[in-house]
Amino acid sequence: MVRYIIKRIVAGFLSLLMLITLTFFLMHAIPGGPFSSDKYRKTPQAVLEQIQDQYGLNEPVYVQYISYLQNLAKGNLGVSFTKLNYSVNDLISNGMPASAKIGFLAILLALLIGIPLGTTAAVRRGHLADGVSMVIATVGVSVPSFVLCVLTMYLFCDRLKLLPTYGLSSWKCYILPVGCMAFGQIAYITRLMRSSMLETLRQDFIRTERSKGIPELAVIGKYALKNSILPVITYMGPMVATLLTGTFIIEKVFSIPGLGRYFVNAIGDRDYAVTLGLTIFVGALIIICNLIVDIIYAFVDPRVKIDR
Amino acid sequence: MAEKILEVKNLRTTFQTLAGEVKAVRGTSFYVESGESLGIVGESGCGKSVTMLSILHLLDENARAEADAINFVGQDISRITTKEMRKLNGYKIGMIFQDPMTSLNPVFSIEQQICDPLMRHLKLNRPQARKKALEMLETVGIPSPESRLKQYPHELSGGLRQRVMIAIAMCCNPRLLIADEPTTALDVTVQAQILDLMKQMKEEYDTAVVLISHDLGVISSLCSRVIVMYGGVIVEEGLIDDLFYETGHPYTAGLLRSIPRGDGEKLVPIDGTPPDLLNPPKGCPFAARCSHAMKLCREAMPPKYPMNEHHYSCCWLHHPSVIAKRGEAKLI
Repeated sequence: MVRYIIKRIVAGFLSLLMLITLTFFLMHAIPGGPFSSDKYRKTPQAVLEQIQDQYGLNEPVYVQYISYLQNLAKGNLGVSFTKLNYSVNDLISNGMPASAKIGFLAILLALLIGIPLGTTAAVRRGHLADGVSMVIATVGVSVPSFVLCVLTMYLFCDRLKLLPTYGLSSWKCYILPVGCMAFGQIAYITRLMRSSMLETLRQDFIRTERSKGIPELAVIGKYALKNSILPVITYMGPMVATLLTGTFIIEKVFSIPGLGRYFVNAIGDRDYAVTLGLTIFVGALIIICNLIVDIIYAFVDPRVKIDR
Repeated sequence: MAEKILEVKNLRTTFQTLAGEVKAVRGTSFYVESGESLGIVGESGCGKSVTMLSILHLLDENARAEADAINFVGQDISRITTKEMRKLNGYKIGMIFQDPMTSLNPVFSIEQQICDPLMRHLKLNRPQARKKALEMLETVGIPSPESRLKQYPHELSGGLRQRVMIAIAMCCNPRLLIADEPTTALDVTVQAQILDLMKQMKEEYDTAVVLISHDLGVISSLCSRVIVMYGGVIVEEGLIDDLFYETGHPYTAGLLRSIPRGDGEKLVPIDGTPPDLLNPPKGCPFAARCSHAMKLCREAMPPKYPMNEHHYSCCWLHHPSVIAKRGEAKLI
């Protein structure tokens, strides 16, 4: 077990290094730089040269790459090019809590609704409950989140005046962003759970459980569930990582001071340090989540052996 | 005469499919005496498994089973709900399935799978159930049961898994054990061991056994009485010796001719295919494949003709006027 985890961590570091290298060179390959946008048109050339020099942008790319890696080894993700006196580490520690809170609640909501809904749909296949949940799932997958955000905002904030439109000042503020973020995930988990449960219910061992006199509720809720939840666990790795680090659209619409919007703004601004820093952060989180998921998977499914 | 622990009267099972209503079982009546072993033989799709699964409420949702009566140890279970039936499943009636590789839940340990019915039906607590589970594994001949209990199905061989299935089915000491092709998926040596084990369990626990198989050889090694099914109906029933030596139905005769006897004689297959149960024939289901078939056979379903106290056959050849005209049928 310990050996396996160490092996996975080493492999994780290697993929992270690859991710850094690729992102670094791709970022620098995009035309333009942090100080070439319209904002700086009136800035004298000499001043721009000076700034570029200060950030080391006039060095050859490989020299920048090496010095970036050296800083990274010390845990320093660099300084933002566009926000004065802001380090990327600050940015993450400022934005992460809001994003993580909303993301965590959304994950919880998605699992608590998606798993029972998908299970019910499978058990009552072809009946009303199945139809209703499949409509929800299809709508959830196909309606883009910005449409959902704006519609719910219009309904609950503007018309009904029940909920605030922005910020995170009270518990009421969480309802819409969490709901909008969870909706798509609920849809996906419901579909995943339904198809997996249908597959499980066709298996011979379900008939064995019934022949042992296990009541239907326990057959579904215990014996079938543990088998059919495996795909959901697999899906949870990337889902947890992406939801915890925030989504641009939802943070933008609801004015939440989270990570997601820094990320997108940084790409537009060619803010190399912030883009790279956040990429590394999200990448590392995905790798960690996947490792945790694989360990959980081995506990749920004894056929999966991780000692190797 | 021994007590009849299971008596089924006119069982009819249909499946709703896209193509229409499949009449899988079309009015079967039979009984099982306490402590005896009854074999049900027939080819794939003849309704032998469906008959037993109907009684146990183990069919899929698209199935409908009806019977005039199903008496199980003095209780009519033909109209009880599935919920009530589950109190008998695994407790008074145990069941073993064909494929041990897929019949055990892959993500639960052997201990969890045996202990659950013990705790539910016998109201044992966890340690008691564990102790009983250990005893059962020992009884079914599983070596080092202590460590097997903690293992998962994929860590066991096919033969061991079928032993576990038997242990689960027998753990509450049921009155009736239904074995649906329990040896079909196993290789021949293991097959013999499992049959021996079933014989031993039957003696030890004085349980009645219903053995479903397409293999008359397997049936003859365990059962004293046999039902032959064809096209959703019972065509012949009798003691094993009657069936072998006083064969009353051309289909049974056909089955017997297709068993290798080891004397170098050529096997004779039964030509043709079983009837389409979407539109079952109105006469004898075997008429289309039967070399003795008469015009009457295609027109009307033959009644039961008793051959002796335990033995009857549903074949027009036993009608007195047919015997008068053609003489006693020579089927073998």
